Amino acid sequence: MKKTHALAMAISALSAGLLVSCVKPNDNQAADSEQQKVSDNKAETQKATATADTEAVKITPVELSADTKKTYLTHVADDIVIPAYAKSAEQSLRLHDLTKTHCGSAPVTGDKLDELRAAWLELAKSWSAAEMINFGPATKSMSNLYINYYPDERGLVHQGVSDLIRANPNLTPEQLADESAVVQGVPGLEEALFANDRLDSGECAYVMSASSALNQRLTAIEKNWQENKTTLLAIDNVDNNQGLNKWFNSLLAMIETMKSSAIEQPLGLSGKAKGHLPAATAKQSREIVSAKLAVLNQVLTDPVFTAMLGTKGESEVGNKLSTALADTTTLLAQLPEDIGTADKANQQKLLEDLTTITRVIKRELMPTLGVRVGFNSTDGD
Amino acid sequence: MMKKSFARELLNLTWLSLSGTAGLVGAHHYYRKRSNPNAKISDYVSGALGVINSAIKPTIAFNNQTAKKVAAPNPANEDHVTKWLPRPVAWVSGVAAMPKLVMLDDNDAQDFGVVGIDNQRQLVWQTTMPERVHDIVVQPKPTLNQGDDAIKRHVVVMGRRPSERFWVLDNASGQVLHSIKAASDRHFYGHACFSLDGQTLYVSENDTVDLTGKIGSYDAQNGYQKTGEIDAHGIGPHELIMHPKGDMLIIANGGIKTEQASREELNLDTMQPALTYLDRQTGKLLAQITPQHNQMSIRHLDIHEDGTVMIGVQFQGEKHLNLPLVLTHKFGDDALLPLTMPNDNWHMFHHYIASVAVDSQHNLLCVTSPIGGVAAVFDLTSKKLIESISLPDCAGAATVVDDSANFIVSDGQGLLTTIGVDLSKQSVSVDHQNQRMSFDNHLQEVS
Repeated sequence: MKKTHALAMAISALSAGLLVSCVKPNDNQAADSEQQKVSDNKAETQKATATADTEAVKITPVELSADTKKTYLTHVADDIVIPAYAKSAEQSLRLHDLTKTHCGSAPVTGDKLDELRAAWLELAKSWSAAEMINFGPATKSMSNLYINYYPDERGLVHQGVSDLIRANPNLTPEQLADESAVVQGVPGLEEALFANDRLDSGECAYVMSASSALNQRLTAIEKNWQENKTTLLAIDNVDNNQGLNKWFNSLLAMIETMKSSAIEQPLGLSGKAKGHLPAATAKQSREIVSAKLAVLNQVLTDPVFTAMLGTKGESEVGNKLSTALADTTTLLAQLPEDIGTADKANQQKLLEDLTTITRVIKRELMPTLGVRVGFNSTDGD
Repeated sequence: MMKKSFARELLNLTWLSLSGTAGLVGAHHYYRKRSNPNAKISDYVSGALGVINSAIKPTIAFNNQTAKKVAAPNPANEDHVTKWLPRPVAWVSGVAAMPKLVMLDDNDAQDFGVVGIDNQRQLVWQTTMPERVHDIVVQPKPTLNQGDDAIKRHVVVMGRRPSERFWVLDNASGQVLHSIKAASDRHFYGHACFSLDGQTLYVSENDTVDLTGKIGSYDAQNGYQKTGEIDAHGIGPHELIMHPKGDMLIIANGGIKTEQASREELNLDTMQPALTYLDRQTGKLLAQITPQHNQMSIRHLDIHEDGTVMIGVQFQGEKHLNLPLVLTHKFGDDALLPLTMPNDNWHMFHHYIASVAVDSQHNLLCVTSPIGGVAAVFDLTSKKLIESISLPDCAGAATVVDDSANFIVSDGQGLLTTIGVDLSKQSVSVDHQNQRMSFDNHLQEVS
């Protein structure tokens, strides 16, 4: 056989093999579209309209360069996240120090107790703001439960704290560290400071230990962020928007959770009441909600952020958000400290305002930034 | 002279090669046509072009220029839109937000869909769905089904619980072939499985009157008509799987009564979840094993080829309690056995496992937790965690058929992440691929 014939046979076999292997996986495939029939009359029929990726989207996504994303995420870490934890740590230390001072002459009552309660409220507000960051060291392995066990639908905090104090009248931070998350953090402190009109020595020991333990946790979180901010916000890898996705989904989750767990459910605005308002024992729910709204306002109206949205900080979605936030803040300021005592119409209006903010963030802001709205984490299935 | 002779040889070689190729392809097509009447000679060219295309442009955009559009026998019905490319499908997944679908109005319906994905993690087809979907079940073997023009392998798309519909799609093109409505007083509960011969589909259902669990059976060869129903022996059946021997159905009875409108759980304090084994023919209860805590809702399952059931738990109790969330069980054993976590740190998963996927060949298990934002890989030989990977909003998990990796995980932010495991080093490596969509809870391999 001539060499040419042998070579031709080899090439033929190879090319035929390639063509056959290319078509093989498609043998299960339906015939060409124009000839396709769905003969079962029970079957849903299908529409032939094109589905362009951008069709029906009424927003204009902004082009964000890698540098812009890095600059913004660095700003988020340095100027928003880390200070939020630092402030919480500072407030917990302040409460601890003040308790130490006032508890020198226990029982603590009157003005001194009011001072401690005011310090607690500042701590609760600062943590409420820091809670917008629902990823990273604060939430890893549900460690945030040790800071804020909320909602407490079965009243475990009330019973747990009183049992703990009764069993350990000289409780130390080391002993508290081994206890359940139920008796730690901001709600535990609230229980000790607000459930009675006086703070006896056992309660003093608990408040000092709990505020000290809380300070250690918050300081550790702040330190972790300082050391790992680049990884935590994916600042060094902005191509797939991981950091922006995390950050904006975190903000969205914060407001959605607040809306449902802290307002809609406890106030029974869409069915049977469930759970309880935040800071219910202290009757300070308005301050907690306001603190969350304030941080959202800070994040969404800050100049670095608005510059990303449009030249000279002007953008339709930006304006819409700042208006919605201002309206809600104004409404909140008119409500009583305990939102539970507000009239139903205003409670409902608050819920609607928060729904508007959520919708603008989800449907306009995030798509404008090219950020994907996550969903599985709130799925419950 | 030499040049002329070489040119003639080259021409001769080309002619002979083309003739040989045409002959061989023609012969293949002749036999292929007998099993697939719709097979066309042009499929070879389009198949080759598809392969070349994916090889030189692995990140090809799934757009209108390259995708085929499905014909519209009844334009009045706008429930589904399908686009597809002629490439083999490796995985199928539900999608909670298709690329175009960030609408300004309140109509979310068209955001939902199902996609076929190739082994390069690129889209092969996408079909919109009128409601959010949950599990996607792949028919084990193709069957000639009534009403189909040719032998087709089906994927069944379950609506998210409680749903009144499931859909049957063609695996290769994503075309909707059948839409099945639940019987009166029944809702589908998000999952289904095929018998090993691919002829019967078993579906977890809910009796909407007394809220007891049922398993419906549907005939794949007869347009998925409902042919029977057996008792699930529990409340809230969720995922169900077939035992490798083919005789037993294994059901995750989650134990939760759910109000249809609000999806509110009605019996969290008194719930009684169980792993339930049933004779698939008679419905006889063969075994029922309950977890150590009555609020450990058994929700998601996979099965090792040796018959060991892999169980993903969602804990419905108090937040501070720390209970095992990944369990295993073998038929005949008395109890569910937990895998182990370093420092018993089950809180890593925030009480929520979304999917479990077992790699029987390497004895590995992958689990996902969207709330915890982690995927974790366990060594089933040692029962220990190998490593966890930070993946925000991850939920779908499936095995990878080739040697490129062990698992693939999908998430709500559009990443398809492959996880390769080095057993000798007890470590994992990951590789991300981004798609412009939010993947829904479950991802299934088309093996």
